[in-house]
Amino acid sequence: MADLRWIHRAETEPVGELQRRVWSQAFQDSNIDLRAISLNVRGGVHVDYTDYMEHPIPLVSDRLLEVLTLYQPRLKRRAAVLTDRERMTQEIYWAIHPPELANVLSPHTKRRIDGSLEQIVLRREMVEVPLFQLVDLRETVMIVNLALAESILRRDITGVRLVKLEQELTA
Amino acid sequence: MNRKDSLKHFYADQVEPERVRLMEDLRRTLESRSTELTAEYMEHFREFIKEVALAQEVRTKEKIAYIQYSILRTEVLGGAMNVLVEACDSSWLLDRRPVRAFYSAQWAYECVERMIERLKQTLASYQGAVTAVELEGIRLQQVPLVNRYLVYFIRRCGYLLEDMELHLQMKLEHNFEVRVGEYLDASECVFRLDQRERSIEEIGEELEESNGIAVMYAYFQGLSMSEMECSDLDFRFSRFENIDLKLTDFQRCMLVGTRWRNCEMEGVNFSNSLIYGADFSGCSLQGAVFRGVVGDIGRPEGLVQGPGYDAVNFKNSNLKGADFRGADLRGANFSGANLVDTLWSNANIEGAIFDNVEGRTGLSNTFA
Repeated sequence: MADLRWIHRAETEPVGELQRRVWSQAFQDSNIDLRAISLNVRGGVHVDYTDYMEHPIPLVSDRLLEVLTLYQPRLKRRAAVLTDRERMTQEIYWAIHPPELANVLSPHTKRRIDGSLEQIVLRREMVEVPLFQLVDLRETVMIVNLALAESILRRDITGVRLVKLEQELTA
Repeated sequence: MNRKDSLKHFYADQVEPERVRLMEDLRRTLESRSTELTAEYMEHFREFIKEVALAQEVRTKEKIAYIQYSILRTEVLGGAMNVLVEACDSSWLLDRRPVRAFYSAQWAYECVERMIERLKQTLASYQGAVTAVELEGIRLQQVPLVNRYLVYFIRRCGYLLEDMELHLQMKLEHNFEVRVGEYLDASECVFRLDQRERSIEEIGEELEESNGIAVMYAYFQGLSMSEMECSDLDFRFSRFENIDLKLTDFQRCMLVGTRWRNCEMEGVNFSNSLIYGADFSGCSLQGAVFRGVVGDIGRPEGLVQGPGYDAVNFKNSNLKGADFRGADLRGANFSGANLVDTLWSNANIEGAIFDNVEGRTGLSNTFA
């Protein structure tokens, strides 16, 4: 998940839910729309472009994409251009769409009252995929395996925060 | 000064010196708590092989070829230096069902933590330019350095495994290694038990095929290599046991960290080799030639990352008539050795230990 401690992280102007759905739907279609997504960055005193951004859609930098594709060469992606009108700069990012897996949560998973996830526990007998997303009632969570997590940390990549998950001990 | 400049200043003026202090701290920790840490490690290792043996008994695990130690950055972020230990079969990293355990290198984590604490003291003068994120990045950047100390430490503990008869305690492949390194990435062999019965010719073939790699980190035993030509080879961290090495030619070899046990080495020629950290204790080295060898204690010049080398060890060895002319052997240990008729001109043996030495006559000239 995104590291919240970056105070000056680049932020895009708000994007409507409908537009987000269109983008995420586009990944599902067999012929992927290859046009770049264009986003505007909100101006500020100074802006840090971290390697990973979560809003409005998961965006990764070239560097991070390189690592991810080592593990998942067929990762669905689409270019995104972040434009900063005030400073007249543009940064290129990649909108990624890892495979969505269903049925990975164990019954031991803890939820808050509103149904959001408090502590994720993965099922023991699940397919091993280095990177996937978990689409749940209220949120979407990106999950990586240990090897990919170690690779990300080894490469000094900014803006990613990894939280250790648990896996069921017995099947 | 803008934020980028202050960060640059922070890295150059604070982080770099602290890194040097971290290395010093790690070295001192390893030195002063050596017995305690070694005992702790051996305890962990014995528990682990018991677990492996148990898994083999219930047939969930076949013969073991590798025990792999992987340092985990995810654990470092979680506030502990838990090293993942995996016992794998001969498919090594592709073994999907290794026996797993953790070894806690808390001593190393404490050193890194002390460094981060010291850095935190200086933060005020950077007026918020250095964030908590940056500090965490610095903590992760120290991991490769800590890893080298871990390799050094586990390798030293590995010397104790030599007498443990591991093959009786669990089922091993003929070629067994303990490795320390990154998870699914570069790692270094720290202990090897090679029970293959190989002849000299087979080793030679393997050497040629592998372009010189086969004799690094190797384990040789029960061979007759007398009068053989082994010059210009890289034998780093290899172990030689019960080998006839009379008059063998090891000129200009890389012999860093080699260990020689029960070898007959009369007249062996080590001229101009690098013998940092080599251990010749108890060997018979009559008339051996160590002309121009380099084997100082500590770090060689220009290399400041990671642990230094141990002293060259000649304890209780027979060096009668050996030739040490032009050798650099600062800090070497000659205690109990026979040094009758040895030649020392131009040798640098500053700080070397000469307790209970026989025949120090030649020494007084160079080392009054």
